[in-house]
Amino acid sequence: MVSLNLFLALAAILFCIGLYGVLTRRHLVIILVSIELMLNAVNINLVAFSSIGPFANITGQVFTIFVITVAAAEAAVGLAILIALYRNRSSIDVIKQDLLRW
Amino acid sequence: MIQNAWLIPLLPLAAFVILLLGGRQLKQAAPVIAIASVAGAFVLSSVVLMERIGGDTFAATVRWLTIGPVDVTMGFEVTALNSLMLFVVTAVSLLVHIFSKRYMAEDGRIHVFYGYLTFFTFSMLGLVLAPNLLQLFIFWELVGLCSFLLVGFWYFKKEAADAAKKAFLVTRIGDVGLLVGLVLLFNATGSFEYGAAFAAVEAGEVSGTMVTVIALCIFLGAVGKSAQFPLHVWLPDAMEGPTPVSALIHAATMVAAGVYLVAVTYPLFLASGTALTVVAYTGAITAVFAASIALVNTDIKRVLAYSTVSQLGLMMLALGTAGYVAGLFHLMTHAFFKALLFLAAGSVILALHHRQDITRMGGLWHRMRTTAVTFLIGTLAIAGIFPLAGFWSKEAVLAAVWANGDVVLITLAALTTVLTAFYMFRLFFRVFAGTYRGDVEAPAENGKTVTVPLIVLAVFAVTAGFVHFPLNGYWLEGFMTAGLNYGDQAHGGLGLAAVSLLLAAAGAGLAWRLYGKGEESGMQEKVPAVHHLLENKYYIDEIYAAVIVRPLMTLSRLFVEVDRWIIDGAVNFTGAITFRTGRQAGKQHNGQLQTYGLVSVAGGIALIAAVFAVRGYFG
Amino acid sequence: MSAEMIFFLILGTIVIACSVLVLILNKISHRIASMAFAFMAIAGLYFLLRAEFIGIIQIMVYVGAVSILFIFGMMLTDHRAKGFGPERSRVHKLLSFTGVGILLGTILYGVLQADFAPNDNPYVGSAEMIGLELYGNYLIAFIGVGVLLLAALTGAIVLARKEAE
Repeated sequence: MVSLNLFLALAAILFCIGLYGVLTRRHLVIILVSIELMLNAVNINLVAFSSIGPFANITGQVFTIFVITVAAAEAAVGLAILIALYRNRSSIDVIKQDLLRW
Repeated sequence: MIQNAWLIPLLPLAAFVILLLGGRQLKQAAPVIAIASVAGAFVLSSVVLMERIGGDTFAATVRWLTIGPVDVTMGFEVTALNSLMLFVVTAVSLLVHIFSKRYMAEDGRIHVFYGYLTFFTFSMLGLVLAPNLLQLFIFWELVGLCSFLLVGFWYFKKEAADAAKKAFLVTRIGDVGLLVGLVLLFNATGSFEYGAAFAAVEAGEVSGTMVTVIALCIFLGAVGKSAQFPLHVWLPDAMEGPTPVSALIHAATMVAAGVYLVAVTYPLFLASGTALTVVAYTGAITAVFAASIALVNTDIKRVLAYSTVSQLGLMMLALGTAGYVAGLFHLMTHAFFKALLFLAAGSVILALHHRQDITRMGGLWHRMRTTAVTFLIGTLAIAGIFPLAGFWSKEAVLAAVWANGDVVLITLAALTTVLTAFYMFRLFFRVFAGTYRGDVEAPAENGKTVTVPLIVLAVFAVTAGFVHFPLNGYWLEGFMTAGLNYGDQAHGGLGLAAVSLLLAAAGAGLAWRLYGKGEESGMQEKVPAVHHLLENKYYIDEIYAAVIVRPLMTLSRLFVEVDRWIIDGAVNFTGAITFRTGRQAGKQHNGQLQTYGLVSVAGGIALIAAVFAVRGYFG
Repeated sequence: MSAEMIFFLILGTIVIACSVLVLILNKISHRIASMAFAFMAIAGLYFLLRAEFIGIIQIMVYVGAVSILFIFGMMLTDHRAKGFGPERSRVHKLLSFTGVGILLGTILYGVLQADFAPNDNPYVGSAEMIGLELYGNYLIAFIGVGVLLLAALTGAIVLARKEAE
């Protein structure tokens, strides 16, 4: 059996790639994609613990379902916002969306 | 009436309030209102004086505030001293008010002037009526304030503004002394009331040193207000004010407040021989010192100002040599003849369109007969010529000094007598004798509102002395000292009177010899060094400037720099730091989602790092 | 090296490579395709972990629905755009890289060192178990998620709808 540590390491790498994407990419769609990657990294952790963790049980998988649900909802709302934003400001470059400025 | 003596100061106060509220609309009515109120006060004062002569001391107080076991009261008191002072103040004040109607007629702010004048009268009367030292101090400060306002009445003249400032600041030194004295007295005796405080002192509840310190502190206040050496410098400069002010405040009433203060706290001085000696010597030195400066001054008002300082010195000398009645007697007579002299000088100044230099006068005897005659009466009175008021009071002063027996004091007093006669007659001759040297066309009398006060004051100057002379058994003494234990009052015999008269005559004769024609004597050529010294007032102002004012200015400038660069600098620095930080922090706040995210990540890392640093990786 | 290990390495490489490609590819459509592959590989990892139900859901939701959603999102906006003018500043990128690197290093350090009790019998999560759990212990949360989905659906429609003139 593959050791739990390797799964966790993989998830960590995936999470950090997603985080880096969120911090540096300029296309809003790609930022949303990066967020999905980060959520998936979490899911990998949950499922790995649920299956081969020291106290393996079903709860991790149940939570994975919740996370997937929330991620789907988030993706739907995020894309809707993105479309509304694009319609209003003709751009989905995150650098140009600086209305929160002081 | 004596129960309602509190009405006396309220009348001028009412006039002041009316003038204050009325403002410019009352420009015409102002003199009438003011004169009426002061006239009312004068009538009431006369009645009160009469009742007091026939009756007894009356005092009424209400509790003002209670501090622990101490009640502080407010009220009024009519003693012999008070009633006499009331009469003198209101009499002189009334005449000055009348005189001012013509003198200030052309001034656009006459209503303000009368407002100040009535307010001053109120303050002075309040001071006189005060039954305790705290109330006295309050009115004392009000009087100082009025002096400031009136000296600086023509504030657009730089000299007047400076003189007002100087008067205020110099008297302030004395006021601080008075305040310290009051606090010490209260601390030592637990009361501000005259009676209670003095009783405690006489009962020996206060140590001798403490009594001396208290007396000297109070005397410092008197020195400031009465322009005694070394705080005399403000009074001559105060002559920048209008002449009626000089007559009222700086001759007859306010400067007498210092003498009054010493008189009213006399038990303290009696309890301390040192304090009495200090008072006597200060008075004597001031008397000679100021008289010698008056010898050479050429400003008619300043000569009179120095004369005032000198005469106040004589009063202090009398008080300091146990001549309680003599000092107050001289205070009263001096109030009349000095007010007379000032108003006569004001009449001359008015006729000459506000020129005050006696080298540009002369020969006014024929042009202004009333003024000249009354001025001569004043001169004779102050010089101490028989039988005018000044003769009797000065003789009383000399008797007190003689009885004291200190040779130095006797010499100084005698010298002052000679000098007084000399400089007053010099002034008289220079102004009224000889030929006219001025450039104003045909100076003449200024009408009845000017001459009537002069004549009334001249009558007083002649007759005021008869309240205290051998033929009525020194009546004033009996009146003033009834019920008081201020020691035996000395009386001069015929011999002393003769000597006094002789000294005065010598001074007058010398003046006639040198200035009889109204021209220069050429003394400054003969003794240039002395003349120079006197003309520059012994360089006292210069010494003060060098010793006190300039170091103080340097220090102040230093402090200004410290304030500007260090204190302000610190404040500005704080402000700048905050501002810059805000600017920089604001720039970070750029609306960029990913910048915020980056900062969050950095914060998260810092948090993790902190946790790890504290607990290690796995806890 | 066991077969499972080989599968894990293959799938892990695919996941990481595809997610890196998501970040560095030029065309948006390629990136999204790359993301779909990454999701697929993750589903493979779930199978490897004996969590078949989750793996199937992963394929259905992520590869099936979310990817399509992103493709629509891409198409409805400027899918032709390649660059956006000036890049993010080098400093920002460098800082992000450093920060993320430190985070990754810290996590990996702990994860690789952690000593978990070995568990050679992986737990097999069946759909039945998940269903019992969802409708038992987590009933309220399940209902809440349902409400959330409804709200998200409504919200997405409201947001994406053209504003009424």
